[in-house]
Amino acid sequence: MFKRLKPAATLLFYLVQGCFSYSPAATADADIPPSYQWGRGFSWPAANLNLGGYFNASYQQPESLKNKTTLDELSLFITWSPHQRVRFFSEVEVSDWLSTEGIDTLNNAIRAERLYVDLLATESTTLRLGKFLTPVGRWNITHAAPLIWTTTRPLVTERRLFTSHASGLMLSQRIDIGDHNLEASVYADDSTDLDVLDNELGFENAIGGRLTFDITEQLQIGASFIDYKNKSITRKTRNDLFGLDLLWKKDGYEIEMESIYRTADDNQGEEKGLYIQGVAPLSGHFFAIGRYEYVNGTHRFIPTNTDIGVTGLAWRPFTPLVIKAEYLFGDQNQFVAPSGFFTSISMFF
Amino acid sequence: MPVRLSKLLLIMALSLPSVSADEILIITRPETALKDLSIKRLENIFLRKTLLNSSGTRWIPLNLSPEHPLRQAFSLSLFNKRPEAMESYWNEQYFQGITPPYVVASEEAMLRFVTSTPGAIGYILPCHLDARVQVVFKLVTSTPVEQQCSQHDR
Repeated sequence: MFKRLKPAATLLFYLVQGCFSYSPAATADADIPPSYQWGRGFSWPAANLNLGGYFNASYQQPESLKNKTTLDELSLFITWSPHQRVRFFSEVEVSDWLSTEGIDTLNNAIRAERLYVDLLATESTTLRLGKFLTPVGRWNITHAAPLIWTTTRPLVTERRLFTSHASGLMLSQRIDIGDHNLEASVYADDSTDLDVLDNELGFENAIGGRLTFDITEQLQIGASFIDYKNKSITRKTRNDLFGLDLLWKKDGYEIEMESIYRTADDNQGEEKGLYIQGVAPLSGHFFAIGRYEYVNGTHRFIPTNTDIGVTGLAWRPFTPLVIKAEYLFGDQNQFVAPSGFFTSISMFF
Repeated sequence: MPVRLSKLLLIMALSLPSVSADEILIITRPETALKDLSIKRLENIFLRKTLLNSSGTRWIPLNLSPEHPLRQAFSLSLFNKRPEAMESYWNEQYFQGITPPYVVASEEAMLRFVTSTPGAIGYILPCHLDARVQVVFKLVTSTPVEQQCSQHDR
């Protein structure tokens, strides 16, 4: 594992060191002592360093499949700013390591989810180099279990549709339009050469962009595009994926929607789909969640025309902790998202 | 007639809701070159969406503790939300490697930190302003905060 991590770490080290001379942290940061806060990690202001992470464990009882209890994710974040204009971030994750089906080797289970350096070119322009979350829709970029409301993931956001990570560079620009923020990102992936910590579902290469716009304090809309080629597909043709998303939040209520359209020339065919999810606060830090999904087309090479519903509860007794339980049901969903009961506990630490 | 008019005016004045327009002063070191600090830009600095200022120095926004009356007023005026309602936002940012502004214990601690730290930006009551810092923005608040001058040790 360490052998696999070393080239990426070395690359980032030289990149940072080569581009910028070292500049010490602002002096008075030293006045604030290192501290730990539950859900915000360990902070060492004098070194501009923060360590944190999260875990997620689930119990899944899908109909017609084996029940399973799993430690799905144990993630560690490291954020370090060695210079005013440089920010290094890594997320190393142990994934599906322990489960009632067995114990995987650490070498198989551990991987770098994210490993990048941000170069802050101006106050509103950032260049990101390394491995980062593919900016398609909202779910993928905020997919940490303590942030999301359900144990199951909508089909239009899942990793087999587009891989959740890209390795390459991304340029982001924030534009203030009156009282509104518009954020534009373009990125290029070359996972074949750059993702030394690759996973089998990775891109071969990709190019894409994303726009998000804050219409009001409560409402944000987004649009995504990606043109990509996957590594794992035998017949490697290019796919184009278009997405639109929306998030509205007010007083604990939330509506989230994502829709996609994917097309390819060969047997990967095309597919379209969406989900819409609503959240309503109940008493005692409980929340009710309802979600509807629709997918039509060739999903994971399977002709699919399915409607899926999810109904569940989430309990957030403290900000960093969430316990979820849900029932998933649907029509013609047995191959892509089997009906069943799913529950999980997750926490930022 | 004049008596009736004055009574009417008095009744109208008493029936009007009390409108307070106190100010919270946003402060930096005097050396910080700053142009056009709009309320949106200020919001982006305290939400840590803007990490650098225009001269390339890292912004270090500061907060008082969430229960401090001035922090409550600041949060309501800038974000239209109480500090506790911002927690889900900071949860999302934590996943992106962005942590909330540092918390200092008092307005005096904020003054000292701002004075000695390039890029630091904080807020105080007008009655606690002194020559160590410059005011870069006056945030109007409908929460009466001036009374804190006599109630709280800075």
